[in-house]
Amino acid sequence: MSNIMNFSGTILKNLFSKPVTKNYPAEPAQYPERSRGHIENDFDQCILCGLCMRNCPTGAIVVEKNEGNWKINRFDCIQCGYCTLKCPKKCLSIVPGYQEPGPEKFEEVQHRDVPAPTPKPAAADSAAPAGENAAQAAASTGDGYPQADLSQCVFCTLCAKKCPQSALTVDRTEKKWELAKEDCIQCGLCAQNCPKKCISM
Amino acid sequence: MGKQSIIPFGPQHPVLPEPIHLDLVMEDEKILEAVPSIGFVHRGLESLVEKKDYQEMVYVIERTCGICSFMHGMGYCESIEHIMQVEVPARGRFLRTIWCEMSRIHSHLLWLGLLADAFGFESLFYQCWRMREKILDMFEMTTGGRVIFSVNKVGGVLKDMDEDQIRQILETIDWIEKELTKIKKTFLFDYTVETRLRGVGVLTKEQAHDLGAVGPFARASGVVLDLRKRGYAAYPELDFEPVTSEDGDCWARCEVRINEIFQAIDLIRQASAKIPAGDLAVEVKGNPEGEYFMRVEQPRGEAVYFSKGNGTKFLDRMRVRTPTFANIPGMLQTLKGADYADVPILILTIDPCISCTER
Amino acid sequence: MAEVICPENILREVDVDRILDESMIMKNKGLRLSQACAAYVNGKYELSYSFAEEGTYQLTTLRTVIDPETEVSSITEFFPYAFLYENEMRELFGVKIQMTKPDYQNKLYRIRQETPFFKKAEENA
Repeated sequence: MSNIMNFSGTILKNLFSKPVTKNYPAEPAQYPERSRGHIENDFDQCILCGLCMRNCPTGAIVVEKNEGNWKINRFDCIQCGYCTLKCPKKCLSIVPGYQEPGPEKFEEVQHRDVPAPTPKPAAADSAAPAGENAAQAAASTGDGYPQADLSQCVFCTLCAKKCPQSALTVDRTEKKWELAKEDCIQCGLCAQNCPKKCISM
Repeated sequence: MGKQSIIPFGPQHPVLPEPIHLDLVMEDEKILEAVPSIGFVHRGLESLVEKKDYQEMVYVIERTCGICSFMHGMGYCESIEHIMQVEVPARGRFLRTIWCEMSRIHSHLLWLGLLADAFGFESLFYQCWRMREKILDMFEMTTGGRVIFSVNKVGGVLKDMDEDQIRQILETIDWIEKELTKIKKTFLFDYTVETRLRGVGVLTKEQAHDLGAVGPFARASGVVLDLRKRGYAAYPELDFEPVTSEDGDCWARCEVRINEIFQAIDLIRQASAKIPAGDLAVEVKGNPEGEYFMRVEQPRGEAVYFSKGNGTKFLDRMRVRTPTFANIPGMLQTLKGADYADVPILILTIDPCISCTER
Repeated sequence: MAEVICPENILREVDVDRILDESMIMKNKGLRLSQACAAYVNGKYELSYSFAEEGTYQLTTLRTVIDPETEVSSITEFFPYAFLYENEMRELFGVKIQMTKPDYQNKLYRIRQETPFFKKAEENA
């Protein structure tokens, strides 16, 4: 007898108990606090550095620094949260609430007016030492890249540590401050963190 | 000798939602030979390493599969950590273990449900998936995702569990243990279920070894092969023995998986009792240079992750060998001589995941 | 406490002609073919055949580095279940493997592009 009627107890119990499923649309779904719903950008904090765009595995985020646009294609986003880890200002976050389905993919745009870039004075690097540093500094003049006033600089390496792209090389013993321009994304974190305020963008 | 005919099976089949196609050479109702063909859903995930850097790749690799996504991410991360000689903090390793075992519970419950569905016991199928749902809720609470968790990174994990969450997980697995003990009787000793499973698709120990079977499929034939013994994550600090069975038929595979759920429950209890406080992850600097073969015991068996870095942020090669890939030859063996009506069950008992097989 | 065995992986470079002999030695030792894969690095194929030992959980990998034109003999004679790996290598990378049984004739994966992993590497170079 033990080999049959094994399931009867479960059946009887289920017959007289409430359904385990929720009456969904009538009874709204509860999302836990950590639920990966969608990416939210605290746009006041955002510096449009573009790190989220560079690190998005699906390429869902597009940042247009010059136009002042931060765009996200919610349908391409996979809610991995890598951008929130990479964001230097920590203005991106994952919050509950899923994107509703739609007939076609669209981008969500956050926009702010950006002042037209003003040409910078050409001779900012007054006390630049000779050699490649000078060339570097001269090359970066006036196009939004950071440049250090090396007469003020104490080579504390704070800027290099804060650089999200590791584009800065600072050596205290050799009095060297170098920028790898191809890696720089002009986020301005180095200038913000400089204790001597000797970096200008 | 009867007349031979070839019956195509799949890639679309009512009982089997996996895109595998088999040409079954039949003589009357008996199968003489099965010729598999896969490749309907090849996505080329492996070649994405050329475009995504090694840290972004974690999110790609864990999307190889929707069931063992956590373990895919973890296996990949551990292979990179081996190359870069990164030591993951103890708490990170224990959290990985807990999530791994939760994945095992939910994968095996899913499989039990599918098996019940395949032999036509639908209310049993509902019971299994009802339990699985609770585990998914626990995943959502701790990681934020129900299917894809994105909590692994090279160097550790991203999210922590607090006391309350661990307590809720323990309560859930207590409940699952209680419910599964009830259902276990139906799965293993019910008369009708036994007729469908006992003696069907026998794979002997020698055959399992000679055909390179892995995971519960091999363990059901008596092969002691559990990669957790190799000691990744926090498994070296936990006490467990591989679950095996002797018969090698569908019933044995079912038994192994049910006992593995109980084992996973036990491992979560051990891990939550021993979990130390501390950091979740270490900062990883630089790029991987070198190569490593990482092997992980997934719910379906041994998975191999081969990473080869060249010192830049893009890897030269990333290769995932999923357990189903290794189990297909064994499955073809069990199909030989079987009845046509048993084909869905035989394919199911290797717990196939064709999408991860093709990557 | 459960006993945990954690041996280091072994990686051994062998000549391409020795693949068959070496895999026969592995077979006689009772090892299982854990995986086989190809990689295309710097204009050469790197083939890896990993053999796993049951019980000790040791993984021994045979590595052979060959030119794209070199022909490789199939190990399906000793490890019949290697057919999936070999078909995959041939299909994705175009490695010239001889006498695989059964040979899927580039129909294992239904992909439009021929040897996608190989061509891509060529474009990058």
